[in-house]
Amino acid sequence: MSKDEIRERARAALAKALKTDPLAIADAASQSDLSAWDSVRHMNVVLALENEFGIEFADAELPGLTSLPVLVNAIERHTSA
Amino acid sequence: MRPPPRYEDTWKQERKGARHEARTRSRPAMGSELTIRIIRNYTAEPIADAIKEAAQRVGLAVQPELGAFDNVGAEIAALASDAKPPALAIVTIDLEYFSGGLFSPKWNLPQATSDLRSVLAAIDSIPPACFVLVSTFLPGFRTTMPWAPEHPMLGRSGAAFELNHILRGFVADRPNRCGLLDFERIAARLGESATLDRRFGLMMKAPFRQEFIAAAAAEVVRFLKCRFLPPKKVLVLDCDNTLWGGVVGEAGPENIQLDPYEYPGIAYYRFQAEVLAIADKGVLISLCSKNDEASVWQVLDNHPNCLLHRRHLAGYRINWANKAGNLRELALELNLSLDSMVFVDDDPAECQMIRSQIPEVAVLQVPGKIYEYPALLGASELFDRLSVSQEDKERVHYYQAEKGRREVQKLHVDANGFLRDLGMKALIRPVRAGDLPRASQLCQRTNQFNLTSKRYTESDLARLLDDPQARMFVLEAEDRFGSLGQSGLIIFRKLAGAVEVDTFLMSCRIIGRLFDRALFCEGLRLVQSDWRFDKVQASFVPTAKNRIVSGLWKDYGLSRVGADGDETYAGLLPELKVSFPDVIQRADDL
Repeated sequence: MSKDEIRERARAALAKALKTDPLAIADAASQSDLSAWDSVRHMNVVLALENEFGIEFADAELPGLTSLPVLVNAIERHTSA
Repeated sequence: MRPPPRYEDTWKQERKGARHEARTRSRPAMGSELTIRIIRNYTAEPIADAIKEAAQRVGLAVQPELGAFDNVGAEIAALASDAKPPALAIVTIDLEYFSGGLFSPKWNLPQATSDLRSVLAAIDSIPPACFVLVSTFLPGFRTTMPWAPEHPMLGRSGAAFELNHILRGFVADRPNRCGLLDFERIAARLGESATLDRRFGLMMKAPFRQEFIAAAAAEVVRFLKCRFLPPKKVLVLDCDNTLWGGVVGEAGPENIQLDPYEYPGIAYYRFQAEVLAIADKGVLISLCSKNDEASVWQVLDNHPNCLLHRRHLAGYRINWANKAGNLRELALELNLSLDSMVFVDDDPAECQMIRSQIPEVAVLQVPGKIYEYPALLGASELFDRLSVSQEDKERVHYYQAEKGRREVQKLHVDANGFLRDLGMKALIRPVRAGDLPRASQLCQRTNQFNLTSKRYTESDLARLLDDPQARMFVLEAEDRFGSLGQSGLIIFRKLAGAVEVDTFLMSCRIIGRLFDRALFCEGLRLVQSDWRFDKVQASFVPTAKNRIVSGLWKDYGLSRVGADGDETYAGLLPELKVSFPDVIQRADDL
């Protein structure tokens, strides 16, 4: 899976979890740009991405997964492993 | 370099924020949106989101508000002194964090029991306008000694059992104020893996999986539907392959499938049992079947395994005519609207025809997998009820008596002779506390003869009962065919020098029988002994269904005083053109 492909699927899942428009999520979007992305919604984000890619993040990773680029890198690590 | 924020840190910050928010919370203006306050000791935000979405799907606008985290006592107290309480409060407590924490060395059941009793006592102080759902505690899914009943002092299951016992007793004693949000039952249905989220349970105090959250939200919405949407009142059933397997006209009554033990007849037998259970809740049962009438009666009257009998039926259409027309006729005969009907048929073409010709009618098709059939009515959730009154249980008798009255009517050419022949009696008396469930039911359900259609709940009426500026009277009616039950309500409010008719309604089963005049005149006479006034003011609030009373106030001698769309009427006492009908006898006791 290419990085671009991961990014688009991740963007769509992120948008769904935050109940927002994918167009509102820039490539570099982070928790600080998106008001809906609070620590409680972060659970939805994690679950949505895990479901989308069939992976499970490590617990130590979770607090740091706070932007689309970081998420994409993490997903890439999990899916290529 | 700064270490990344730990969950605990962000969480604590937000908790502080939430506390602040709870103190300064400003309530959104109450339009058609229902406010729900969630009082919790764990991360219930996902439940709030799920409730909002699930409610939207059934057309209810809901605004959930979360109480501050882990501040249950104070949040309930705040609700108790709230001037504009929400429509619903949900109190949900996770055992793991309750009473100092289930895993704390200090945890003990007597203390937890006493803490729970304090929470429940606080719930009693919440104003009755706010219904309270309380979630049950989850027992453990696993134990090291599955063969031993757990000691309540030790295991989670034992503790949950004891605390839930208290909780259920509390709720059972307050049927019109409190309900259960039965997490224990939902968890039993879904199983451990769909219920518990161990990861976010420990990291975020968010113990539930999305499946469980969706199921819990669905239960809340089911409750909201039941409380705020109009109920279904009539179940209309096809016969062949619906009440029994096979075609009675061809196979003969002895060869149809209907049996308490043998498959597939057992599926139809169990379905009939479900129908009777629904009839017991006050839903009227009717038949609509393309059949030879005699062969249907052969089954209902004589088949040893047929649970449904002729006496259970409020009406029927057994003929070869179009079923849409039959349903319309039944609605007229029962004096109920089409949107209160549910129709069950096995024939997909008939189902489709009703769906397209009368979209207001809810249609259920007999499932192809006939073993699913007994669960059909329950799973449809169309006949959910908050509570069941004595009136509900006896409703079918009223409708059967009504048939007798129609027979009498056929014998009389002039209306007055017919009315006189009915031997009508009316008892009109002040509403008492015990009448409130029925009175509120009348307010909620009466659509046609209802001048203002104010949908008072039981707690609204309880307040009016204590209000010195209001008087409420109920009509109990009877005729020679039997009791007509509590079937009318009038509410007066005191104005300066005048009295206002706040609510005036009659159950549809007694419309056209002059009972309205009896209730109005007697109510007015009773209220005159308390208050001094010389003028009556009233209004007509038009709805889609109450055209029948649009001219009532004029008939009573009141004149319209409102301009344009304002249907306010007024008149001095001597101008009234309404008197207690001489065909109705005043009763002191029925």
